[in-house]
Amino acid sequence: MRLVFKSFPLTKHKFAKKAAVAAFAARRQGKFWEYHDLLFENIDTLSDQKFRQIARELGLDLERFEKDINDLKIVARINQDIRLGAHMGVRGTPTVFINGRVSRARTLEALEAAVKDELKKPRKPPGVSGGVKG
Amino acid sequence: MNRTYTITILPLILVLVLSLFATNLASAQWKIQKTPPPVQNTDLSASPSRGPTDAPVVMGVFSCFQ
Repeated sequence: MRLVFKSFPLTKHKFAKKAAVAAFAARRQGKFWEYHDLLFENIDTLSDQKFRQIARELGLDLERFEKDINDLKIVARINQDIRLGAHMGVRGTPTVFINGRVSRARTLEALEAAVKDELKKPRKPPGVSGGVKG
Repeated sequence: MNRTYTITILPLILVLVLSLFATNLASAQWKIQKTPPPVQNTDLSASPSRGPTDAPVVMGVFSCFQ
């Protein structure tokens, strides 16, 4: 299975978009998933200082990180995800799509069952090609 | 009597048929607008992902960090 992350920071959360930007800044140094995991571990204490602290913990180049979190290209990239999500009917998070169809599964067991059901279906040609960096 | 009956009923049937057609058409258009593009057909290569690129199942997760 392939898991694809799409950003959908909710406006009601003060640091959600900044967190997404920080994760994408970490991605530029090849540490997106590590940063992602630490953000969720610290979900109740997110702040600008915490973003830097996580970057430090992961051994990121802090100078580059600081520059990247102010890069408007990253913000544009996140906005692109938000627009896509809105177009696809995403209203809250997490919203899961399995092979292009929205899944109503809300538990790990239900998600596993949905993936197993999908695996039983005849395989279609893949719609995505090319390497993907995390 | 017969002529009056025809004149009264026929326009009513016509209106009924037209309204059913219009309702179905509006509903079909709504469905077309509401059908989202499949996630695998969008540009996923620009998104962080885990797992093989040729995996039979692609799970796209719209997520918020807070």
